[in-house]
Amino acid sequence: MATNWPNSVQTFTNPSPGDSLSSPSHADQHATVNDTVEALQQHAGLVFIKEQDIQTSPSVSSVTVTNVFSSTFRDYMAVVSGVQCSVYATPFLCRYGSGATYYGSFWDGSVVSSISASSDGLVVGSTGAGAPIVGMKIMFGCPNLAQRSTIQGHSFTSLWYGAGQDLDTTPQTDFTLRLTSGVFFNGNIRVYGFNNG
Amino acid sequence: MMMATWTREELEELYPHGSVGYQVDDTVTVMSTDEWSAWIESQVGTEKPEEEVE
Repeated sequence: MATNWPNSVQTFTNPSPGDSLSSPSHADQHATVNDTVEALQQHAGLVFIKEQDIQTSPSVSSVTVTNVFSSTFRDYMAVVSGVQCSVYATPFLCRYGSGATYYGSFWDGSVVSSISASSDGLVVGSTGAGAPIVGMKIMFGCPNLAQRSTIQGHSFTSLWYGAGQDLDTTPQTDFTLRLTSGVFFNGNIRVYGFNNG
Repeated sequence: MMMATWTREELEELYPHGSVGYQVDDTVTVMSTDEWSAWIESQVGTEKPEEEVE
């Protein structure tokens, strides 16, 4: 029996003690499970890759997350949650692991600014105003391919967002998040890959 | 309106040597004196954020 997934949720028939191998069909049982597992691999959507807790003490100026980008996925998303910061309304920068040249722009809630030929990375959000606890979503486009890749992000806790491109074509495996001033602590970064089937 | 900016003295008081590190995966390395001094220097003269402004 072929699986219904992802058109509809697959249901399974559990055998009872004493059932023969022909009813329900043992071969059909395996085929259905195998087909469903295969379909899950192809249609599972976001795949959780890594969670990185941010240390509490000492506070840090940057966090590098290694070995998250690979040839398994093309695009990735990082969700930053519950991070506490020493400063208000201060931008976070994100960059890939090795040297690169970034072009892009960001919006701080009132003004759009450009980033040109920067090696520091791209603005992907900011600390909040009044309550310096940060949530951000960062999207990485094609970081592990031998081509230009993108980074874009926005804050859940402020109006800031930004996007741009890394001109370097070196396949990347790591990224670094840092504040332009001040320090941060607590919270975590969860990285997901977009499953291409 | 002129924005207030950080001085080295203010930053050193806020972030004394030994209180700031950088993290790679689960490992946090406290900044050396030179790293910390350069990090402080990179923020001298930058604008102090206004808490009231989103």
